[in-house]
Amino acid sequence: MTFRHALHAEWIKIRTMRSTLWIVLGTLAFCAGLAALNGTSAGDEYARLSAADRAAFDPLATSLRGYLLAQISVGLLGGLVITSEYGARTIVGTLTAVPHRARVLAAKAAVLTGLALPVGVLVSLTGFLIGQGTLAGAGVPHLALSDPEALRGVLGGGLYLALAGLFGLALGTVIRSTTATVTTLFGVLLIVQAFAPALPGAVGDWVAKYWPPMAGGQIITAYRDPALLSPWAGLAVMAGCVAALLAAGFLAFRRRDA
Amino acid sequence: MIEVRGLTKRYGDVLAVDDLTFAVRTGEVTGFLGPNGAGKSTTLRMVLGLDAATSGTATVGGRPYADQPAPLKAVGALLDAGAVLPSRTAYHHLLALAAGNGLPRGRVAEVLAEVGLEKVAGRRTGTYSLGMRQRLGIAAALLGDPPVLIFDEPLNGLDPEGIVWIRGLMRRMAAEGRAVLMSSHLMSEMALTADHLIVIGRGRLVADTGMKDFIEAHSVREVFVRTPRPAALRRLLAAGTDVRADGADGLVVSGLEAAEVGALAAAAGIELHELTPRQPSLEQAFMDLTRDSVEYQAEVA
Repeated sequence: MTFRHALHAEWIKIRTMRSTLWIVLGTLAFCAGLAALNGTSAGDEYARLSAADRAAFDPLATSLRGYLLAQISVGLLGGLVITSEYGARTIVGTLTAVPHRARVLAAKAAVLTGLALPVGVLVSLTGFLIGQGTLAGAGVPHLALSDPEALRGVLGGGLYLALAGLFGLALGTVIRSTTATVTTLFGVLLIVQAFAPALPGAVGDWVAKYWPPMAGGQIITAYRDPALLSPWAGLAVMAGCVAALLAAGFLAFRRRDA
Repeated sequence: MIEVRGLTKRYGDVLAVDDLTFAVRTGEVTGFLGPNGAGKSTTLRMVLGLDAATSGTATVGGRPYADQPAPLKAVGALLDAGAVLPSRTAYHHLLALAAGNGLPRGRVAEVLAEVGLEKVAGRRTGTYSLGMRQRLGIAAALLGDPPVLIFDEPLNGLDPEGIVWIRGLMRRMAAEGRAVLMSSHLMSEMALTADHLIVIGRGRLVADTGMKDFIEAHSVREVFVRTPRPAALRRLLAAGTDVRADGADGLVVSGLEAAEVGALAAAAGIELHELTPRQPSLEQAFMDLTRDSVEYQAEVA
């Protein structure tokens, strides 16, 4: 029995989980739709912007804004990889078939990454192409895939979504409940972000710069705000946070009774 | 084949399993009996490495479960038949388990046929009845063709046909030389299926004995006798027998065989209207044995 067997088992499970297909298709449709909407409305807005605001206009982020919801849905997929097993109690069968727990969780993480990364890149690429297409149609600044920040945004956006999936897996491993995992995903990935501007001075600045999902979100921006981390540094903060949580998940998974 | 030594599980102040030692032999169905909450499932979960023991060891074929190179080839277990993802088909449920142990795809079809689910293998398990899920759980246990089988309350919620089927399957598995461990809280089920009995109460071993020995040791033979002269018969029966009245003309005699009661009555010319040996109630014997160890007990007035 090897890691390859555990991988095979987890691959069968993720592809026969009904939610997987709906999450992938739903995420793709949402991000494509939002990119089209944002691209179209950006045309009217751009015309009314001041010169300074025009300089800060970010066609890349405009087309990739769908990641805000996509990170939740991909995070949910990651969570479901393990919470569905606790919900249906199939974790008992999983661990009797493969008692090596680190191997089980590593296989889950690998299979999830193998799915979430290409899906994330596809979602980003679709958003980018549709978004830039509509921006071009509206006659405002737009990017081509050959622009360096475009490729970084599309690939980095995919990486970010894969990290969001692993984040969900780590949360789900520790929490073990689908509902609580979804609630936490919303809180960590969206609510904090929404309330960050309302936080007082230094705290607000710190959160905006270092709160992992916000720092990681820099990867889809073409406009550089000097108060924030650079795209790759931001993504590294997010990756570090996910790695730490996954480590905690591994420890909990190994120590706790199934 | 299964060896449990000094196995203990403590949850805070509660000792769920308390220094349990027993062995399960091959070629037999061993009944693992105890009242609800006695620690049966916890013990089985520790044997399967799902729960960590506070102390003690449990091995299958000489090694801890977690060290089995291919666990499904060593032990097949049915712990919880409801443990299936409702949206997954039975086929994929089994396929994932088989893949985890590197078992060939063909085994899935074989075990599905063995439990009679081959025609519904492509259906989602959410549409399955309890009996079908139980069969699916058994199919999962049989995947690796293991020499040791563990069934936790396999007859719970089954219809009579399902019960007969599982009993037959367990008998057959034992006859093939496998070790079969089956838990239950019902003595009557054990009497029909098990060769050997391990009884626990409050996590402690209460009895580890052959089924026949258990029945003989824990049941008092009784004879029901009806006569128009109960008082005379009562005087006649020697000391050392326990006699109590049952109705106006009936006596229940323990300590004598029916033939002995009949001979005594005939010798004394006492007319008998009925003479019936009574089957000992195993359920009663089991309840007597575990009376002190039942966790929650209704007050008997």
